[in-house]
Amino acid sequence: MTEHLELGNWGERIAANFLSEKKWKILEKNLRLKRGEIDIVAMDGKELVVVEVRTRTLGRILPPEATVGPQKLRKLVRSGEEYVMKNNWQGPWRIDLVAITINNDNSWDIEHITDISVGEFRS
Amino acid sequence: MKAHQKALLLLNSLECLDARFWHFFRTRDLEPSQVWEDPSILGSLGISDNAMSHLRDAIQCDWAEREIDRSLSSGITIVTIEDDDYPSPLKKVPYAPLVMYVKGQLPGSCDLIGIVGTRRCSEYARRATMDLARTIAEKTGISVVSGGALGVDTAAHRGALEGGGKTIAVLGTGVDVPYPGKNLGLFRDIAEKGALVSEYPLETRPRPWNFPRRNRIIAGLVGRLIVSEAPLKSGAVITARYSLDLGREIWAIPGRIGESLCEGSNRLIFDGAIPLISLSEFVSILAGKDQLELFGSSSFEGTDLPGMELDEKEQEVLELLRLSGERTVDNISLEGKMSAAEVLTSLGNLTARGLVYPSGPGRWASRVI
Amino acid sequence: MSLVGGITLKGINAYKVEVEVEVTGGLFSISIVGLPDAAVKEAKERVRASLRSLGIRVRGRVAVNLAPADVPKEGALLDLPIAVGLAEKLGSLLLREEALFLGELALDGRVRGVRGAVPAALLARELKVPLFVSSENVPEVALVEGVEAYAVNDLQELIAHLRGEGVLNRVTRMDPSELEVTAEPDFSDIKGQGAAKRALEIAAAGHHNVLLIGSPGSGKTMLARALRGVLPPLSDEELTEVMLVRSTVGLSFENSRNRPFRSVHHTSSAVAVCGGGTSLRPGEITLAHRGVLFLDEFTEFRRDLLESLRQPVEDGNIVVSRSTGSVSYPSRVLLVAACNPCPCGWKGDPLEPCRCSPTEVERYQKKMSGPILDRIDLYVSVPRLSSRELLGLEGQQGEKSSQIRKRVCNARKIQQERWSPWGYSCNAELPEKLLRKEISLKSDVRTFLQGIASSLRLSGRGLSRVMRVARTIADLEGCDNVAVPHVSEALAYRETGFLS
Repeated sequence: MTEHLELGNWGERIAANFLSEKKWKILEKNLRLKRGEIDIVAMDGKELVVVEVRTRTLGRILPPEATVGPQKLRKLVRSGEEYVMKNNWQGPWRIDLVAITINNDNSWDIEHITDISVGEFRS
Repeated sequence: MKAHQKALLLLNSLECLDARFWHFFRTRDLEPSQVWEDPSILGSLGISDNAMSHLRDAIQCDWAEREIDRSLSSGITIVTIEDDDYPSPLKKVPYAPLVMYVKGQLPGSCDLIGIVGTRRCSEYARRATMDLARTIAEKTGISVVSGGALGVDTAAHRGALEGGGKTIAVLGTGVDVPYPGKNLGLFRDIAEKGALVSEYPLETRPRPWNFPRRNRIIAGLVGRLIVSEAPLKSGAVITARYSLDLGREIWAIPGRIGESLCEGSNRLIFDGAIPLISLSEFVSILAGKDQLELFGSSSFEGTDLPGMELDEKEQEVLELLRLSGERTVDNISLEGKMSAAEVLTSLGNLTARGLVYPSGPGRWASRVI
Repeated sequence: MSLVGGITLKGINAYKVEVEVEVTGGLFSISIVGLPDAAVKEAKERVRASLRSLGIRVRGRVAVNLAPADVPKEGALLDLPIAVGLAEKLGSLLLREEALFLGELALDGRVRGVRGAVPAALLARELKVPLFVSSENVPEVALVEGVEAYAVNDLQELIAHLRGEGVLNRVTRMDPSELEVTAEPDFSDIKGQGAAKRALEIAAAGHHNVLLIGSPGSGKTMLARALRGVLPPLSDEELTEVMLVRSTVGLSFENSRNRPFRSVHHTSSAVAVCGGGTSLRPGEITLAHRGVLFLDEFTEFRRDLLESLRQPVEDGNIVVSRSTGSVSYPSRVLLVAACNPCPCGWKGDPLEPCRCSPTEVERYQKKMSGPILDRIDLYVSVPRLSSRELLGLEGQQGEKSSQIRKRVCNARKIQQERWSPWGYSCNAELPEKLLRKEISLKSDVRTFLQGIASSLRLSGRGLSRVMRVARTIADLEGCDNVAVPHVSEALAYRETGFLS
């Protein structure tokens, strides 16, 4: 596996742990759907959350949350919709971003940004 | 058509020749018919090539004949310098026009008074001029001459007409061209009760250089010239200078010092013009009579309103205004110890009687007597 | 039926808007339907943020329906009801009775004041429901009698109140009898100008429109401003009308019985002056309702603008029709116009020479006989006082505006009593026919009138204008009959004069 994919898998594991600690129930990981991929699907209480994980080493110019542009977001909305339909989920759902930044001394920071679509993208 | 009439009309159409040329022409023992039969002779008298070609064109198309026809059909008389009814005072003037177009009737008497002044005159000058012209007409019957322009000229003509007199307007356009257009009605009245006069051929449009030439005719026509209100650089002052050269009597209405509008007329007084300080005195001098006889014992009382005498306050306001020129309501109420409402009541009544008039924004003046 | 009500404005009237909220599952989104304009659509951001600041999280798909669906809704008026409706749907509170809510939300949950509070209060009173408004709107709402209104500072307070926890302050009615008139500037502050002051007193007494003519710096604008200080104070009814209009455009409450004074610039558009636009806003003429509309540099106004002023000045109301509907605004104004005597402004001035040619002056003065000038009864020329003249007036204490106002009020009362059988309240309103019939002249006035009519060449219209003004002058003196001095004074306010 190439380096950056490895890094991605590592990030997803870290993110899943992070969410589990918050008492979230992890439903799916690294899910491949017709309209795209979802890194993690989890339940935050009664709300279903589609989680996008971004991992970056420090030194890269962009902060991780800035790498999700409108195009990616639209893709996430579509994938989320596909998942919700498939699993017949009736309740509310949202899209979160977990951004992991690896520092130079190999420690890392985790940022959790909730509801990144803020009503911008409607089906 | 007489030969000299045709010759003079043709020469006049060049708009640069005057009586001096005609005398010169006549002293050479030339026949008037030679003007159109052998125009080349004129060239040797010093007429430019340009003018010569213009003249030839005019001869070619029988311009003079047509001009006379047109005049006849629109009731305009053509008076040439050779004619007996050419105004006698002008005959002695070196630069007298060769031809005068007259619409209306020139007054029989040659005793004429000119009144000139600026077009953008003050309300005071307008009123004063109007009263002056009216009084001249009423008391002496002398005709008033002016230039038919807006401002002082219009006031002079109107005043003379209102006083039942005759008036002559010397125009800088053809007599059939009403300019300024606003005075169309005035010109109609003048043509009826006096005369519109011009040296310019019919249908001549207003051109800036026409008007100074027109001023010389006014200066030449009148025995006395009154300058009503004129800034330093104005046609009225030019007219006065011409009149002075001709030895005419110059009068000027004094204006306030420091006001550019009357700088010219005031300067004339300094230079020797007679200041016109009282209408009645002036008129009595004209008439050669005692002024009291002319005016009766009472002074001018304006329009009579039935059964109404001036009350005390109105008398007082009138006195205050006669005492000194323009006043605001504040001045009058302060000096007369009256409320603004009382002052306005008096002013309203006095205006209705024609004894006072508003002379500027918020200012009032009494009528000139 | 939803218990949550908001309002929308049409003209100066408020209409109730029912706010229904539906929340379903799905990705978060808010959609607002029911002819909302852009500002209403933006409400969703403010509503969500302010609810969030209270810890109420909005999730799922939210549909907000504003009924009736065919009335256009505008502005930030509906933030508060949408937030309340949403909070109720999300279970944060339970409404027990119908209520009206009005206010714009800040992102941190504060409630901002909006325009339309007075019409909303009138509507709430009519519907007999409580009204919740921003505390910023309290001064104006306090003027409306018999409305149950509550002042809201922020959303949290409101939700707590609706839950029955905290109790919001109920707005106490302000007694308008405490309100006074302040004269600013006062007539006594203006040096000299006795004629203009007198003319303005007459204008105030008979509600006559005025044209002030004078050179630059003669004090036309100051005089016009001082006029409202001598006008009778607004009655309770008029005060409500004025507040209603001010509230409709979101102007703050002025704590007095002063009549409005609005100045219109000659470059203003017809919409700005007469009202309209897509959102059908009232124009300056409506903002000047019951007060003074001042047209400075009158001769510079476009002819079509003046033409469009004519009807509202005559009728006291203006109907504006647009594709979004037609509304009627009140426009009973006292018109004060001002202009220079000539293009350069110095004609007739004793010190400054006039630089205009006669033709320019003539053309200029033609403009002074344009449209709506036949609606002007008083022409006042204002002298520019030289420093010498001003010094002469030093120490002369003029009358205070309050003294003049007393006379004006008396004159108005006399007119009211005289004309009420015909349904008119002042001399300026009177149709010409009625004026001529009912003016009651003293016996010698008729002969005097015949005299002046011919000597001054008064037209029929000019004559009745003089009579109208004379009637007001007589009323100022408390005379039953118009006498010769009254007519004489009226003659001093005619348009001819140095302009002829």
